[in-house]
Amino acid sequence: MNRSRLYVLGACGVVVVLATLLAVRLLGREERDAPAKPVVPLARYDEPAPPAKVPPPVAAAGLKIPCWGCPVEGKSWPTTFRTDLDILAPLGDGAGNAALWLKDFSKAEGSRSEEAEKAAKRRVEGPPEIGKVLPPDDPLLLEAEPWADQAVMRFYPEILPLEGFATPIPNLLLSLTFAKSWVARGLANPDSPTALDDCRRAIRWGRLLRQDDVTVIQDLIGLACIRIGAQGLYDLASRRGDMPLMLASAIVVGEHGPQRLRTMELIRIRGDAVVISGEDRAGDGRLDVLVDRARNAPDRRFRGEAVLQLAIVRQEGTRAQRQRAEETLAEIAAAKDPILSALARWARTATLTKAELAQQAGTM
Amino acid sequence: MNRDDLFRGLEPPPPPPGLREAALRAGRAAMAAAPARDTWTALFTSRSLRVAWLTAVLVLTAANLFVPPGRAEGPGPIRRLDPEVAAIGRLPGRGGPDLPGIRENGLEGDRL
Repeated sequence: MNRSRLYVLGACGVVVVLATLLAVRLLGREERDAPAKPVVPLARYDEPAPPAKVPPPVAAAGLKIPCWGCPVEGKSWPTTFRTDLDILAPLGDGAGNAALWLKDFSKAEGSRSEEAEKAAKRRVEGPPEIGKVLPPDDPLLLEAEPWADQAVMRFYPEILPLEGFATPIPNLLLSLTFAKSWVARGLANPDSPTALDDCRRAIRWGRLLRQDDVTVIQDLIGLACIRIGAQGLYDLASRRGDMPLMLASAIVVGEHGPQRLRTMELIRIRGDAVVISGEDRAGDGRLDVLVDRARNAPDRRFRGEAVLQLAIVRQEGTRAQRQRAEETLAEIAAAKDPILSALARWARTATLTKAELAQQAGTM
Repeated sequence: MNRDDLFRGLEPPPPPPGLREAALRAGRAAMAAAPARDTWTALFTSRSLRVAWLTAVLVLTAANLFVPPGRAEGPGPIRRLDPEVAAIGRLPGRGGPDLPGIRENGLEGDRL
C-alpha cells in the first residue's frame, strides 16, 4: 500500500474516532437533560379538616412481647405492629382524608410545595435524638394538627397515580418533620397536660401514613413517626413514673427494629441486589423468590415492589425468565386489588430506559 | 537496371534536423527531475490540510475532555429522596444503600 495513503487514512480514522466519542457523550447528555414527563399540578384542597374526636387510649390488658425473631411464629406475620397501637394512640374519627391536604405539599405536583420548602428552612435544632423541628407554634404545624385527627390518609390511586417506578409520593420530609416537631414540643414541656397528646399525635400521624401500604418508603416514614412518638411517650412516662405507659411504649419501640429488618428481607434477596439480566442465568433462583413475593407477600407494598422488579425481568431477562415474568404479571393484573392490578398492568407494558435500569440495578 | 533506381522516392522521410539531440536532451532532463506526486502524497504533504487536521484533533480532544458523559441517572421518573428521608430508607444489609423505586432530593441525614 502507498505509505502516504496509509497515513492519510489513519489521520482520518483518528478524527472519526474522536468525533464518535464526542457524539456519544453529547447524546448521553441529551438523554439525561431530556425533559421529564410534564407535571400536572394537583388541585389545591382548601377545605378545613372535618371536626374529629380522638378517643382515649384503651387499657393495655394482656400485653405481650412479640417474638419477631421466632422462626415459625414470626416469619408469617405481616410487617406491622403486633402490639395494638390503640393502647398508645387510637386514631381519630374525622371523616376527611388527610391525604387531600398533605398532597398539596408534594414536591413536584403540590400547589403548596413552596410553603413546604419554606417550612423546611424554618426548622430549628430540636433535642439531639430528634434533630431539626419546626418551632412549637409554627403555623404550618398548627394547621397539620386537625388532619392528624382524621381516620384516613389514602393517596392511591385516587389522589396520586400509580406509575411504576415513577409513582409520585407525598412530601415525606414534611410528614416526618411534623411528627418530630410534635414530639419535641411535648418533650420541651414535659409537665404540660398536652405533652402526651403531642406524642400521641405523632403516633397517629405515623399510623395514617402506613394505611396506604403502597410504597415502602412511605411505610418506613410512618414507622419512624410511630417510633418517635412512642419514644416520647416512654420518656414522659418515665419522668412521671407511669409504669404501664412505659411498658407499653417500650414494647412498641421494640417492634420498630424488627420491622425494618423484615422490610430489608422482603425487598432484597439474600441481602443482595436483585439483578436479573439476560446474562444472569443464576438469576432463575432469584426469579423464583420474586415471583413468590409478587404473589404471596403478606403486605401489599412488598408485592408491589416485586411487581416492579418483574417489569425489569420482563424486559431484560432470558427468554424463559421473560415468559415467566409475563405470566406472573398477567395473573396479578387480574387480581382484585386495584393497586396491585394497576402496577401489574404498568409492568406489562413499561419500557425502562438504560438510566432507569442502571439505577434499579444499584439500588436494592 | 540499378536496384537503387527502383526504390528511389519510396524512402521514409528523414527526421527533422536536431530531433535526436532534442529527444536526448529531454530524456536527460526528465531523468534528473523529481517524479510526479500522486494524490495521496499530495494530501499527506499539504500544509494546509495538516493544519486543519491538527486543529480538528485538538478541538475534538478538548471537547471529549470537558464535556462530561451522559450519566445513568436521568431526571426521568426516578427522583432522589431528601437525605433525611433517605437515611430512614437506608436499610441494613448488602446490595446498595437506598430503597428502590421512588426518590427525591433531600437534606442532611438524621438519626431515626
